[in-house]
Amino acid sequence: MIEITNLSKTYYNNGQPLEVLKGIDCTINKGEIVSIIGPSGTGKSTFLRCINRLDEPTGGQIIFDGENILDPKVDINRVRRKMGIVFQSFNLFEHFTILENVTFGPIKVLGMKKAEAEERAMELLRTVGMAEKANVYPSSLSGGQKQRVAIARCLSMEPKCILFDEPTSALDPTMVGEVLSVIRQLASMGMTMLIVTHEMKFAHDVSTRILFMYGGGIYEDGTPQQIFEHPQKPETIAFIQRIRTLHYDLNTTNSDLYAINTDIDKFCLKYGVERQKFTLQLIFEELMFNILKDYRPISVDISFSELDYSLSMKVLVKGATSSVLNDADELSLSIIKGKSKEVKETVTDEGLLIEIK
Amino acid sequence: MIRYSKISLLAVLILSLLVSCTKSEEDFNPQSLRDLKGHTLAVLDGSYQYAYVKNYDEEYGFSVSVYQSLPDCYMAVASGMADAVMLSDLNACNINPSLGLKICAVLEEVFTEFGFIVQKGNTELLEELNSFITEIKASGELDEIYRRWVDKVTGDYHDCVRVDPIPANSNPTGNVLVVGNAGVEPPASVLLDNQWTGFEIEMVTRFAEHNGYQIQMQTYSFHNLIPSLQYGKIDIGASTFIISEERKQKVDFTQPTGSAHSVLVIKDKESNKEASFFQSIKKSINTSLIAESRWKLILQGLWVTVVVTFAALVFGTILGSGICWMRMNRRRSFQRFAKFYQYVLRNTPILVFLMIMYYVIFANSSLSPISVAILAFSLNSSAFMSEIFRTGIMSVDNGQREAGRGIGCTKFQTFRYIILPQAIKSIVPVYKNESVTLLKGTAIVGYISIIDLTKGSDLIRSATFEAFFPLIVITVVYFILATIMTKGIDRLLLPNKRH
Repeated sequence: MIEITNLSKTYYNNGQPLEVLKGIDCTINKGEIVSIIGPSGTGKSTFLRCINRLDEPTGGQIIFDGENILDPKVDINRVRRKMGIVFQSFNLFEHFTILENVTFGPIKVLGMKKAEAEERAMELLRTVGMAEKANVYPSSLSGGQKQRVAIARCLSMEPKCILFDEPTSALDPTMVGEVLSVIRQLASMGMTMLIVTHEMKFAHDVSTRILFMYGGGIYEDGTPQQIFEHPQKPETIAFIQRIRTLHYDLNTTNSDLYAINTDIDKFCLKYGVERQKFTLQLIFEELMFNILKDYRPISVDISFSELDYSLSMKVLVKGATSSVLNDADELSLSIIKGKSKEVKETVTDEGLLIEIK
Repeated sequence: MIRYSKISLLAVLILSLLVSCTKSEEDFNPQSLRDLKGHTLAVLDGSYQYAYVKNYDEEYGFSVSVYQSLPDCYMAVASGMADAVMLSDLNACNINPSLGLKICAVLEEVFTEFGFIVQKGNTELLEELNSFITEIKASGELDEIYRRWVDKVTGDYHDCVRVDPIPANSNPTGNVLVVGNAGVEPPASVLLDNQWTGFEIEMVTRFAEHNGYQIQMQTYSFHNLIPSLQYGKIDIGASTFIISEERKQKVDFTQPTGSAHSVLVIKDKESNKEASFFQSIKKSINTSLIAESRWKLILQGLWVTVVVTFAALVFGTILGSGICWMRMNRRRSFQRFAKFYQYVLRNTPILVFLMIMYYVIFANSSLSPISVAILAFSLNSSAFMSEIFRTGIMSVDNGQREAGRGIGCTKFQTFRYIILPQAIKSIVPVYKNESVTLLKGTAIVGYISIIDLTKGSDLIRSATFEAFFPLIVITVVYFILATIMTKGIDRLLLPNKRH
């Protein structure tokens, strides 16, 4: 249904090119529900908006219903009628009532009779549960309600596929559910959908296919089982397991321990592991300012996985070729071992790697 | 809004009463310019007196205030802004006693002669005028004219005789002579009963009759008469032009038609205002509006103001939309043009722009002054309107545009049905502002010989020497006009109030 070949998009900021999409190839078949996931800033939304040319791609081709819609001769307005879009910020027409929002497209764009359009609009509003609000203005609705109306507005054009651009990202957590259930309902009706989302559970449950985007391209493509349960590539794994990292490079022995402690404080607070912050700070201090005090440079990664709530610290002592823990101060070492589950030491090409869990 | 306008009207009335209240006075009775030390002297802009006193003000230690018309000079003295006014005895002889002014000194040494002026090099017309003047001097007709208009013999300047307006003489087949006058200088030229009259008017009328011309009167501020002549807007300047070497370099003078001394006029302390507030209002209404059907002048001026404002608003809006479109266009050249257009027009004072349009750009065109005024105000307001429209359009969230395009609307449909209705809400309040500014701004069209509401009131003031009342009348009229206009814009652009 949608065949995308070598799609690219480059922004120019003061003449500086910024390549957001780097030659994407992808085919979406009729009836597929494709969720696009990935870290922020990897071009997910841009990719979606390029498909209906709200953002103009700078290269490649998109075949939709057998027609290259990037051809300048194509009437893009006609294409957009068949390819609806739902926005993160709803974008309901503020000066229209809910009913007018849903009848505007059919009347003005499709040339439908007013009575017929209203009848169909009411039906769609009933589908999304918003029929009783038909005559109020958008400003009096909650975010979740607005988004359901936006979906009804999109459906009023009878599109062949719908693009969802982070439909729940601007919503209160309490309102996410109502919108997702409307999308689920559409899925059960067999609508072709592309959904950019951060709702992993929803993507897992409702999609037929997941695209993991990273660095302006499709990094991994597969069924929800493949992507969520057996991710293949390291970035996918880090994303799926939701591993958060705090990174430090210590190049001299004069590093500001208090500043680092403050950062560890913030990190722990952010991911809800405040109880372990003293352990982390203690291990860090013993390691850096006792055991490894004569070794520099050192690079440290403190990682936290949101999936299994585990904390780990990776320390790379650059240039060291043999174990340091064996010669270490007994007291410090026993503190570290006592506070952690596992301490592992390996010699690599770059230096000595110490892993503490 | 009606309530607010009532309150503000009251405020204006109270203010003007306060201004007209008498200040505490000292004994002041100057007999020469020397006696003016430490005082303020009012003079008419562009007048001979102005040029004369500029030679003495530093030496004698008085300061000079320049006013645009004689009524303004009188008003300045009556209200205490200036202590005395220096003017020609011809003008002073007609000062209305109700003003509370008196002549305190005749400056015999400031003796001058005056005549008509024509464009430099227009020798044909000059000779015709000169021979006519020689003729009426010889036949005694000139003396007779003066006797009828000016009674200087008795030395009592207050008792000038006003004769009936001279009948409009027309030679329907003759060439048109455009006569420019300041219109506010009785007994030389003044509008009485909606008729141009005065001894100079009588002279040119008789001249036209004698030589087979048609006459068309145009009125300018005094200091604009010489430029108007230079730029060919008028053929003859008739405003008791004092013959001076400086002026001779710019224009050609006829032989003198009369002579005048200068006089000093000060406030007359004896003339107490005994009339009660309501009596004086009643009297003011009578002299300013009812007598000699002067209200017709207000009505006529109102019509001109309405026409100029309305036309400039309509054209300015259309033009402004076009400039706004160019400013928001993707094409760089359009953007640059629109920016330049806005830059030039917004930063040119509208008065200067109006004068340039009239005296330079359309100097030789047959376009009527009203058309030039409409054009100037349209161009000026379009520069402001375009920015008003642009900020209004930009105030609509970009998501609205994307949503419109997202369901397959064309650019135009998105603009027409989605952007515009939302932009209008933020445009209307500022747009109303700009239209009221435009309405009040048209008050300067008097500079290019259009008699609008403000100029009409000036003419009434000069004919009656009522200092404030005509101004208050037109203030009320402007209030009403502005109210109608803003209400109309609301009704037109915000058809149904929601939210």
